[in-house]
Order: sequence, then structure tokens, then C-alpha cells
Amino acid sequence: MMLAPWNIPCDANTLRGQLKHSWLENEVLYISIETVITLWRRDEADLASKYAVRVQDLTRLADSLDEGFSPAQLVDVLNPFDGFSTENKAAIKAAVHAAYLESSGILALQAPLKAAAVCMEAALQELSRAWALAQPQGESAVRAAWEGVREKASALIMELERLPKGVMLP
Amino acid sequence: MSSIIFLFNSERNSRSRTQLWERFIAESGARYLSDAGEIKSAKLASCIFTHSREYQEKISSIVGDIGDVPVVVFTGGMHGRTIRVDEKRKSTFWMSIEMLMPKVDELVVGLLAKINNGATANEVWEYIREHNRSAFPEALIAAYLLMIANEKVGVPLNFPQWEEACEQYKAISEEKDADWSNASGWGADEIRKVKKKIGELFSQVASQV
Repeated sequence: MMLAPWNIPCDANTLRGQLKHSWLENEVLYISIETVITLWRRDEADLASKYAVRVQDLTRLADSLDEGFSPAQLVDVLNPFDGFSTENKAAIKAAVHAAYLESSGILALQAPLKAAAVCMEAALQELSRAWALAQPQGESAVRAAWEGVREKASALIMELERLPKGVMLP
Repeated sequence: MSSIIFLFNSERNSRSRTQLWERFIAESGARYLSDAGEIKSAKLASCIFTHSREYQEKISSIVGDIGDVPVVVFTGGMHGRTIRVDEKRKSTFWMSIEMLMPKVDELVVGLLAKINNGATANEVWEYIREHNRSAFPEALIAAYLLMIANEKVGVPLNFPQWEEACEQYKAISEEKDADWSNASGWGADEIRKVKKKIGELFSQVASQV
């Protein structure tokens, strides 16, 4: 993977960061089991349903991983390309995207990320099932399910940390 | 009331971020208001350290109603050199804390000059956008991508900014390791490795000029 002193911003990196930091760290790993149990006792909305949008975002990131970090997107935003013809721009985009796919190894990161996402989704479904249970078995089920969610969140974070932190150069 | 408020969102107590903020305050001479509202030193702008995401309430509780005063929030969780306008308050600008890292003096001096000249929120935003744009060497990267396209599919190397690209390459080559270390937090070995890689990649660009 190309290292550079600049993190060239791209939507995929913002999404990566939001999933890792705002969701998995702040909303899962840093939430204590006591807080989760309190929410469950108060009959609050199931945490898993609250995270449904995050799961969709995660799927979107994984599905478009190659395009998300591609230098092809720079051709439309870098000022020096302003005067180039549409035809030349298209040719540059195709060439740099192909070069990046060859050199970056980005596609090798896709399958493990998708697998971790599937595991997380399954853990959240388990939490949903536990959330619907009543006392007395409900509390222990929620505790166990939350532990599963945390475990899968940690695995998912590891995969997200392997992703680039901005547009990659070939 | 100062004409701009810098707000540092320290959701978690990161040592490297704290050092950055201390440096920002030292170099800007900014007034520092702690969470408790205690004024540490005073010169021009306000800096508020807060652990709260509810920054408007936090500011109001310390300095009162701020009207349309521009607020620049330096925060983590913006993932790289990202900037955005607040969705609810159009004169609040969120900036990634990383934007302070490489050239803290330049950004601080520039922002304070804007304040001294009575800049509006929009003018502050324009300055921030320009600063962000110059955060990575556009001409150099564009030249590099063009060269790849030339090699692969024969797109002509008809590029008006070769000279600028070369200057940017030279600047990167000559940057001191210590500056990089301060900016990135990387160790000396990592920096040498990255510089070598950049040299290999961009020496092609320099040879075209």
C-alpha cells in the first residue's frame, strides 16, 4: 500500500472513520454492559435496530471499496485537470484506476471486511432476539448477546484499520 | 466578545492533541477558557476546551450569546484533512484536528489575520477551504497521475503546471524529518521509508520538467 504524508480526503475514508470511531468505538466498545441492561429494562428501542443504518453503510463501503479509494476520483477535483477534454479525463481515470487496482491490493481487503460485516450482522440479530425476551431469561440473554456484538465489533475494527486513510495513489 | 471562537473538542483526552492545542494557544496568544470557564490567558481569540458535543450550549454557558460570531471547531473523528460547515449553524466550521498538525503556525497566523481584518464567517470559511486545498500538492499529484495515463494509454503529457509540480516535489524532498515527525507522529524509520517511496514515485515527474 502506498504511504503518503497527505491524507487526501474521500467519502469512503469519511465513512470508514465514522463506522470505526462513531459507531464501533463510541457506540459499542465504550458502552458498558450496565448501560445496555438499563436500556433494555427501560424497554427502550432495540440497539440492533438502531444500528441498522450503520450496517447498511458498512455494506455500501465494502461493496464499493475499490472505487471508494481510487485515484480516478481526483481527476474531477484537481484543478490542474480543469482544462482537459472529457475524453482525456476519461482515459486518465481508466488508466490510473487500473494501475491502482494492480498495485494497491485493495481488493484483497474486501472479502475479510465483508466476512466481518456478516458476522457483525448476525451478532446484532442475536441481540435483537434477546432484546425481545422478558425477564428472567432476558437479562442474561442480552448480556451474552452484547458480549457477542462487542467481540464482532473488535474484529470489524481490525478490518477497518487495514483500509487506507484517504485516496490511494498507484 | 472576541470576533471568532476556536473550540477544541476533546472527546477523549489524547496527549498528542493536547500538545497541539497548547501549541496553538501559545502561538496564537489566544484566550483559553477551560470547561469551567476559567480564563487562562487573554489576547485575541477564545479557545474553549470541551468534552461536550453540545458545543453551542457549552459556549453560551461560558461566554453568553454568541450571535453570528464564527466558530471554528477543531475535532477528532473527521478522518483526515476534512472540513465542513455545520448543518444547523452556518457560521460554524468543523475542521479535522489533523489540519493543525503540519503547519500550525501558518494556519493560526492566517486565521488571526482574518480576524484582525474583521473577516465575516464566509471569509473565514473561504480561507479554511483554501488552506485545506493547499494541504496536499495538487499539481504534483495531477502530474503523477497524468504520467501513469501517458504510460498506459498514451494520454499526451500536455500539462501546464509541470513547473509547479516540480517545485512541490522539491519541497517534499527537502522537508525536514523532524517536521514530519512532529506532524505525523511517525518514527524516524517510518519517515525515511516513506520519503524513499515518494522519491521513487515522483522523481519521474521532476525529470519531465
